[in-house]
Amino acid sequence: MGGRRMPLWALLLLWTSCSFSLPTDTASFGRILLKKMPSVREILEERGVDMTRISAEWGEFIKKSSFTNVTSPVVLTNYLDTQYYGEIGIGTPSQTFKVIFDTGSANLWVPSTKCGPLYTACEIHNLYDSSESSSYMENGTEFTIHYGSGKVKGFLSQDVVTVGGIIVTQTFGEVTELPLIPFMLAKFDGVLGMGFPAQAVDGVIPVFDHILSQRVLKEEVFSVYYSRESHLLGGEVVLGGSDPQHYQGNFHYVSISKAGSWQITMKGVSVGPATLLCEEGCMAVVDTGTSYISGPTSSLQLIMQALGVKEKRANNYVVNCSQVPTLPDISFYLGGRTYTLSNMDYVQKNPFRNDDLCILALQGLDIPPPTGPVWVLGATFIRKFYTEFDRHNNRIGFALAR
Amino acid sequence: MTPTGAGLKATIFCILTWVSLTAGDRVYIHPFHLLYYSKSTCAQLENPSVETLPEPTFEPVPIQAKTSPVDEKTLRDKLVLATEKLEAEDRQRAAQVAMIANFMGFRMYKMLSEARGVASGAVLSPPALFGTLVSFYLGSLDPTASQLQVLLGVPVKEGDCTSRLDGHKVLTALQAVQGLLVTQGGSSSQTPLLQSTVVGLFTAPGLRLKQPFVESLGPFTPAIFPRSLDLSTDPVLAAQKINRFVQAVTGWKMNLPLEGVSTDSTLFFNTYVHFQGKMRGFSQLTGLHEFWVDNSTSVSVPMLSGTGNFQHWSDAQNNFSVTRVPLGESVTLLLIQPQCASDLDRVEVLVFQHDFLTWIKNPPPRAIRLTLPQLEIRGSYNLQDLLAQAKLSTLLGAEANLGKMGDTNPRVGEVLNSILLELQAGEEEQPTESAQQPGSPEVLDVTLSSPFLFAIYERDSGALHFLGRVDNPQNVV
Repeated sequence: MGGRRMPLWALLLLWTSCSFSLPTDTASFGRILLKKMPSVREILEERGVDMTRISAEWGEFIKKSSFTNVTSPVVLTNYLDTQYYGEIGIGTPSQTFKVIFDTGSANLWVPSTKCGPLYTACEIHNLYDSSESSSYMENGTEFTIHYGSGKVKGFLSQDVVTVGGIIVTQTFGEVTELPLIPFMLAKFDGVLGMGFPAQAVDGVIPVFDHILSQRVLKEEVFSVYYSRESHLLGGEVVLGGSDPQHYQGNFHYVSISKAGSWQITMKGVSVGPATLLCEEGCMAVVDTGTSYISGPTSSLQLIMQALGVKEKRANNYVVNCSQVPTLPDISFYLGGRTYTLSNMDYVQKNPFRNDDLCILALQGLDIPPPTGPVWVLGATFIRKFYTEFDRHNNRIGFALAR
Repeated sequence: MTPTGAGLKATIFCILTWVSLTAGDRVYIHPFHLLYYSKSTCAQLENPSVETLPEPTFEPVPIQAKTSPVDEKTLRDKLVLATEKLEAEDRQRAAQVAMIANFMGFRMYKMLSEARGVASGAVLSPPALFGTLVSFYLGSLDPTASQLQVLLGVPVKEGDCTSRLDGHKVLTALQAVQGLLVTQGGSSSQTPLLQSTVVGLFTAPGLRLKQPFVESLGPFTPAIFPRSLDLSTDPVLAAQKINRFVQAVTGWKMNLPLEGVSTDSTLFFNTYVHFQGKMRGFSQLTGLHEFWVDNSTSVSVPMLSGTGNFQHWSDAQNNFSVTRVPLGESVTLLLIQPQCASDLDRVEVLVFQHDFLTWIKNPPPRAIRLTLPQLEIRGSYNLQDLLAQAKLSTLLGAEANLGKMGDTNPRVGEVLNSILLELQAGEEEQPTESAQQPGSPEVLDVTLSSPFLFAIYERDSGALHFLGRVDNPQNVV
């Protein structure tokens, strides 16, 4: 029976491969078909393949097949235009976790069943249980990751991780200390860092690097689409390519300015017609894990003066909502082009509004040298500009999102 | 328009942006840093300018000593006065404290629900629970202090004093939360809300309490009663003495538990909360009316009814409806009723979650004739039991380090929160039948004649002051 099985696999894979070589104008058709396909794991499981064994031999398996040129989408959920997260699986059998795909960090972590009862935030999130996974391997190294909003602590473990149907053996963090703030407000369980190996705590090889080393992706890129709250699709990460359904025109590329991070040089920030800042150049990171656009506090104050914004509440700039239509554009100069946000782009919709104040999706954040001062282009920017992160050419591509 | 404080919703929304996962060696400023020790306070704590004198202690007077009753109006006036002085930063602290208290409240309410028997009501006060935990924080040393701080939601950096919670700031912020509740339309309001908190510190003879600790509880409530009695010879008798004392001092008819506790305890920390709200535009219906405890059992209870413009919405997917009744300018009674009476447990689990406030919608008010039982809800819970259910039984257990509370380490027994919640008809005269104008929109009739959930929510701080369920309005919880 083995002989009969192999031709069927080969046929399926061959068809998959062919679909990617179709002309560009049928890309939508190919994209839809890809989304409707069951994952590779599901196909193999339907044929009674022992997933424990196949996971361990996955690397060898793909070398013997023509299963390459993959682009793999991960659908994202959008929570209030502030959190975008998608699902991954860890372990055998797979345990599902919601994670933020974060270009500002490079580690994968999820909460652990070993998180203690003092941490209320662990009570409301999915917890990884290593005792339930037959592919778990102990590591035990302690780790701490600091984010702008807090820190998490735990220890490292190794297990099989599935992202968008792609399987890797991954060292990741089991978090045992998950602070109440902000994680009681987090709709996601953990974080999947999409940064460079140099950014990874404890020298862990990031998930995307493991995927790259399998050489299954069509291109050594991933792309990020963040929708606005009213859209049905919350967002999408595409591993190995981009999704033309969600952008128009062409990508324009900016080379990264610092090896080992998604940092680029910004040559100006304008409010209306006047360039106020960064004419000599500033550092900016493109960070899918940040909700807003942030810059140095003194720079933000200049912007707010130019906008005529006077008020601050709980660390956010606010304006009277009736003032919003009169606010000027804000533009960022990257790679020789202007990227403009209109007032509708940088004013946050506030579903909890019980007064006439609107919140600006712009924040001051002071980061000391050598890392800072730095601007962070987060979800506020990415909602307007579909973003491709290119590991092969070490550049970031922007196109107008739609 | 008076400037609106940054309420919890705004704070939640702003905090959401803190979920910004920019990693690396970045400056970490916890969003709640307003609640930490300041640098100057830390410098003072770490380098006392004068020789540290032993903290003065005192032995509480016996419980049978003559004690003046609590004057609830005086307590309220103090809160109103404190609230009028609030500045923007104070309101921000209040919103932060309210957020943490809400999270703690939902977690412990879940423990309370899991522990209770069939078809029994429940009521929990997140601020009282939070205030109790902060009080113990003020009385504790490491490791208990650090553990409490972690439970209260603020991570501890070892050796960093400026990452420690300043308990005094926290209790002062909690005082603001309480003040924002009772300050509705100023002290001249026709239908003032009353909420009073009383703390009883019941100690075994010989245990001396530290004066600074007892004084530090002042913002939680001025009505603090340290009293000494024999807790070990006859625990039931001790409980009876405590209950008589509380009854005499407060005048509140509370349903206080009489169960004895372990005979080796040297300290009880009991908090008593009385909330009195008037429902404007409501009047009591004559006679008694049927309330269906379950499909086959009903009880006869007094009911209130009133017609007004209230917000009302249904969650068609989860089969429950919510009615929102103003109790004051920024205070709301939320009434949550499942479409099917037997569904209350499921709806309770679904709704009373940490993201409860995001469920609250904002539909336009509509004309509603609302009928509900007159509520006199009595409830008690022992925080020690709730902590044990949350796998935290050792937190305030025999090994807890409470060295700032007493000269010898107290052994904590009961940690009680007792609640009396009263919702009554407003006193103003109302016509027995409100005239319905021709062509006016149809009046929706909402009758709560079977078990329901309720919450009392104050918008400016974002605090949920009470969470509860009514299974049988006749039952004393």
